[in-house]
Amino acid sequence: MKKVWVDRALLLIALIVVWEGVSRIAGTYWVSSPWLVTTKIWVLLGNGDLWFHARFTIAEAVSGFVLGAVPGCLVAMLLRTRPLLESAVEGIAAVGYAVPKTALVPLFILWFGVGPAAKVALVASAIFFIVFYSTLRGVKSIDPRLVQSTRVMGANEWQVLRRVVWPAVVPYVFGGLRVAVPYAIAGAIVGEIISSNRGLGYLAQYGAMDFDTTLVFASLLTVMVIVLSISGAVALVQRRLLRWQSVGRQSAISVVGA
Amino acid sequence: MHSNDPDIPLLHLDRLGISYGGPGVSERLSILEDINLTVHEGEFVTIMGSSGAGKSTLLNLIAQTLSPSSGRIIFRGNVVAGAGMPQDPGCDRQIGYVTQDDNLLPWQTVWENLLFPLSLAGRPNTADIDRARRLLDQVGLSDWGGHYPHQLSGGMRKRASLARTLVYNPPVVLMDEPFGALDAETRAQLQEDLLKLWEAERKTILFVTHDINEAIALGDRVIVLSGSPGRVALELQIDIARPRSPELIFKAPGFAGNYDAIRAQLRGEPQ
Amino acid sequence: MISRVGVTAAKVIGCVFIFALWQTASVLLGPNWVPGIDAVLMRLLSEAEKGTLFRDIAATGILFACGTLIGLVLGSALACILRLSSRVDQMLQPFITAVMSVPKLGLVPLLVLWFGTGWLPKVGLVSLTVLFIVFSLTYSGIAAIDQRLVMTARVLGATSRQVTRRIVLPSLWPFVLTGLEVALPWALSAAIVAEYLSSQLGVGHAIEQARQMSDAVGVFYGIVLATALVLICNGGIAVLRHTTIKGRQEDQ
Repeated sequence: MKKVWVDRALLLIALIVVWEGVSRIAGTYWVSSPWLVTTKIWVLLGNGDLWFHARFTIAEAVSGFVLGAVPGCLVAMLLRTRPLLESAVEGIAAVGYAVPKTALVPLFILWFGVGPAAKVALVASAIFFIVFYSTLRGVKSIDPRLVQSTRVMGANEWQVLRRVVWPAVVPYVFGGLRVAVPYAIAGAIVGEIISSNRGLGYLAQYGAMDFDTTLVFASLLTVMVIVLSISGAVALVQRRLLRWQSVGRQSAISVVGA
Repeated sequence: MHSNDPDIPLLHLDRLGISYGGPGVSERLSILEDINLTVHEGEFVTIMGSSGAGKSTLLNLIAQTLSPSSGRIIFRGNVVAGAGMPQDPGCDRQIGYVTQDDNLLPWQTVWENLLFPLSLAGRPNTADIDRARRLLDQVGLSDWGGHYPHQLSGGMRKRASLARTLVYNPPVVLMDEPFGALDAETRAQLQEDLLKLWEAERKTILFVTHDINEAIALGDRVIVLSGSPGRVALELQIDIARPRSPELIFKAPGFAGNYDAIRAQLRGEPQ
Repeated sequence: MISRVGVTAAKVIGCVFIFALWQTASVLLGPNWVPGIDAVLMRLLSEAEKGTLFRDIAATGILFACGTLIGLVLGSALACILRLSSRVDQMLQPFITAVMSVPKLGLVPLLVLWFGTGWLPKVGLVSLTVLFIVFSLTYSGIAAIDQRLVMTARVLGATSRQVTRRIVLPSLWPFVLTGLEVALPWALSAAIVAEYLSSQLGVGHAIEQARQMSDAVGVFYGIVLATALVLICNGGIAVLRHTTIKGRQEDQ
């Protein structure tokens, strides 16, 4: 096990060296160097700018996430024992998922103006489908014999839902949540790039307009760190809640895919 | 009422039948027809039949996870199921049901699974907990209460499932080929343990199996369903003395006669 | 159990319901917020007549197709290469996760900075988007290849190349197709964003232009176009899937 970490450390160092090399060859105008980017991040942290912008992006992402994930999960669970409704909703959802979400950005801007609302709406519309489909997969995978044997033991509808359906679906919901995290942040960033004056996406765009590759790299790196942290946190929560699963199943369910 | 009158059979199936399909008589697919069966308290009845004869369907009817199209189910003198009557799965917790799948909730420990049926009824109280602990010991899983189902072997999960079914003390226990998915040695062990539990608790057991040896070893009576739609084709009283040894049942006096009779019926040969 | 007829009927009713909802919203909120279905249809017709509809679809479509093809090939190839050794695989895991966590669309400013506003950054963006998704799904698909099949083939005397060609590739193909299916809307999203920022043509450009002129009908029109594009491609993939994958249970 230890060997893997040595390999990884070596790879990381190699990558940084290559980065530095490319930066020198192409010139920092085109590719900023690791050193410049690190110092830039340090400065931005120091004067509070980084956090100022990060806050907006995170807030937009989180609000959109919740606004999309909760209905997505609920709708999927509602379809459990209603096959006709499920067909109807699946048909609608297929079209809904096909709508490229960024095509909706101008619409949201038209409706809600250039403030955070448009970004929240974008994130929500993307996350809804991701969580909906994951939860639906979970609902469909519930073993009906488990439900039936619980009924024989005298459980009423609510008890079946709470004690059998929900725990069975949770791993899939979490799989969906984990997949959704990068998309949530991405949605916020895209919205900001298109039209904003706050947020990490805006910062990257500003850097590009200003030919300041260091700023662009710095913002992107920050985004990466944020996404990794939140994903990691979700993964931790997932591991704690799902101690009862054998390890193989856990990873199988978190595969990317709607 | 007359619930505990020993002369009233525990369970009586009166011309029970079930069919699926459309409204027209010719469209309906009849699975079971005219099933008459009387079971007394404390009896161990094994049920056999060729594939598709409707053995599992019969158990499902008794457990009320299916609704009969004709006939009635009378439990302790009261009609509890019939065509057109509402279903009550588990018949108000009077019925336990063990199948080939252990149906344990994978996200709960063995102990939690054991207490699960009690928690549904708003219990458990201390008496229940003692009973659960006793059952856990009786099935040999005393050290495994804190483990999750995926950490147990197939046989152990089967024992846990059995204990869970018995924990809420249903007078009738239905078992649908519960040992089918296990290897021969585990199966033999579980058969013996089941007989011990049955003798200790004096439950009424209806046990479906496709294994003639198992049917004779475990049952006071063997019922054979046959035909399509399935009917009771043979009712055989097993007069082999208890305690029996399932593994060596073939050595018991009278075994051969019983075996041949059942086998002939299953094969459709004339008696 | 519901019949095929029931399922189709349910879907049709669902669609009707959505259209009814749309029209009601238009009436309630006014045409500036939600244009009526008739207005959008009229626009579709007029733009088709003018030819701009086809021009925009073609522009976006070509960009979309090129980018997707590149991304598909590179993504699946990369997945195969990186999966060759389990040591390499283990070593790379956190790096792959890290790279996947950068929103591809966030790279737009960088790509525009480097490559200007021509077709290169646009195609690059679409390719990258498709690449990551296809890579990710194919990568885990490789893990899912039934090792028992591989072993059976080996026992029957298959060479490494034969195993790859007759077992690995056919096992992988559904995953690649699924990756493509999942990637499509996101790839088109990428194309559209690229067009917002630097284009004179294309569906994305049409939408953004409509917005800038507060032309709600135009915005809806663009969205309908974009969705139609995705649905057509989905249909194409479904056909592809159907013809190339026979006799297997899909987990879709």
